[in-house]
Amino acid sequence: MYELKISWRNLLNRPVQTLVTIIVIALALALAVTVTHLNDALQRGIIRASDPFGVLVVGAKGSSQQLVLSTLLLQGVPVGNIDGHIYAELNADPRVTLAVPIAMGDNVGGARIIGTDRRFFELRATQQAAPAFQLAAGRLFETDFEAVLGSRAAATLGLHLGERFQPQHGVEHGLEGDNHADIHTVVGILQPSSTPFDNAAFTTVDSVILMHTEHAPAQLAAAEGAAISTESGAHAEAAETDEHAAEQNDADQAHATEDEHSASGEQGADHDHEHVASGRVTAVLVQPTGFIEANELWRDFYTGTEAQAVFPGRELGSLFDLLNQGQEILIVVGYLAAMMAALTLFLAIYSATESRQHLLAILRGVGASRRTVVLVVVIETILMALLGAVFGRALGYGAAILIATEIMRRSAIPISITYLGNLELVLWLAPLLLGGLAGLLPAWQAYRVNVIEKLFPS
Amino acid sequence: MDIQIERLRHAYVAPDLEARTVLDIDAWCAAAGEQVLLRGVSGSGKTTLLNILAGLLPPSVGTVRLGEHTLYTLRESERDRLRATTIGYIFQMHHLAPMLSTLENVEMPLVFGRTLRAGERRARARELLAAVGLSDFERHRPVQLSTGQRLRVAVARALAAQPNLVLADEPTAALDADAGEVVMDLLQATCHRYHATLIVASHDPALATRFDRIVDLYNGGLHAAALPMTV
Repeated sequence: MYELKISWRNLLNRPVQTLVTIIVIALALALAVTVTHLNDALQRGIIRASDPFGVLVVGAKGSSQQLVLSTLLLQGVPVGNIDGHIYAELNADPRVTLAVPIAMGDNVGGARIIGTDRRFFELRATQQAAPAFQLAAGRLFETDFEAVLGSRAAATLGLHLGERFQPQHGVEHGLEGDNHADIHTVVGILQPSSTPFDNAAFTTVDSVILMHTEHAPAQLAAAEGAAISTESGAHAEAAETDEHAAEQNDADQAHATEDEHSASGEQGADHDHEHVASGRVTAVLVQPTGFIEANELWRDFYTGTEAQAVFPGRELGSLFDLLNQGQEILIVVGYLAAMMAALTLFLAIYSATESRQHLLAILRGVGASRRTVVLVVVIETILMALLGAVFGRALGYGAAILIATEIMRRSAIPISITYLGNLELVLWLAPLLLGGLAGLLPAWQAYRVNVIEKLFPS
Repeated sequence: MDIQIERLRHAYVAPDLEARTVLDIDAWCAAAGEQVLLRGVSGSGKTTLLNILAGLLPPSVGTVRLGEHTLYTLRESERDRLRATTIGYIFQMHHLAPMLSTLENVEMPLVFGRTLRAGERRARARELLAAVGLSDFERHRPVQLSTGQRLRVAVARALAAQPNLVLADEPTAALDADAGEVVMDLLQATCHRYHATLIVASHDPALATRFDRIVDLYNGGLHAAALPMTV
């Protein structure tokens, strides 16, 4: 098509103007592509990451959203702790099919240490689904200070079965040397689960509690095999709690505490229940027997004063509303950017009018019709819009993937940028439409080009 | 293609807002295949007349017939097509498309005329470039050519469609005598070969001996001039 050739050569004849215009269009489109795809990917990632964790999350009173974010997505600091007896009561509640304790507070090389019990590894997205957290190697922990590592934590820390690590204070990577004395041994490594828990280390709730009792390993060894007191009267919480709280500031309020403990040979979930009941946990993941029971449980906690129960779906819905609001703002910014791009395109085409009109007059002089010269201008405009669209999409997808990778690195929330087929039409048509609009006036000028005036200036 | 002009008058509004009549021709004609030298001083209206004959400038009044076509009763698109297929116009300033190669410039009227396929167009353009001695320059852009070379490209472009009427506006003005001879030889020989009518507007006295008819344009009218004596 000859018109296409002329238009293309015209663009190449003005490389800087063409390039700048294409870049502006590309940036405007990249903004829309990045925001839309990231928002979509983030929501899917959050849903996927929170899938296995049951219907209710029970935790300390406070921000319900923060409770869900800190418990299911390991984002931010936990809201606080709840008494272990809440867990024990839930565990014994006939309306509950599964109650899994979660105790948090420390990390190893940035990977959170999660105190839980073996039933955590039975969690699954649906009843028919395979467990979300399955062993890739080794076994589950059986005694305190044994640890099972998430796939990413194992890879990042370079730890293998049988190797040992020393946890650090705090939920995030802290200062060098700010370590607990307690040595953990890696006994298992999990398969990737596509959840933030891939970057976690799992151990018994007691291990987490014991870490905050400042036992030296030697003492623990000496106490090994000894009976433990789980009576509430035997608690010696205060001193350690205060000391640790001072040490970790607010961020560490989630530390599972602080029973007077000694490491023992206790094994199994039943023992765990007793220990947890007498200590404190950060949250309890609850799978009720049914919908009605779930609502009853929620109401019980809502009217109570000790803890709150939240539906993760509802909280994540609110979070998505917030994300969508942010997206809407960015989309308005995107509209402005698109207008700027259209104006830039118009300027680029319009400012080349003089030189182009001489060319168009030559074409007319040699026999081109008005339709041909209008086509030359329209194609020129659409070519720039199209090139901007192509580069914009590449840039947008590239930026979205880079940002998603960075968010994944920081949060471990699995964010995969996917092709949004339903948006394709809009993302192609919008720049072409804007390009068409921007080219209207120059095309009209091309139609009206005065051949005699341009070829034979007096 | 024969040319007939009847009661043609063309005026324009000058900067002082007064209407100036530049052409006032009662009747004039040229036979098919005839080669005519149109002489006149600068501003006499030579280019205006060529533009009218090319279908680019509707006269204020009057009739122009090119062969069977009454030029200004045709729709504009039909005149455009006529210009691409039947009329070859060599502009004084050459007016080559700057972003196209020499070969593409020569091909241009063939593209707009849509009478040949791409391969045939290219072959025709190459043949003409060879005829004007620019075979080695087919990929060059106009800016990379000398003035004389650009004129030769413009000549090749005007002849590409094998037109029935060739209009040339001062074709030798920018050339030395030898180069002018070469261009005029090509132009006249090609027109002879295709029995095309040739109208050359020029005030180059050296061209007078090459034509079998000379007309002078002054006071808006066309006046037959005597042919120079040849030895």
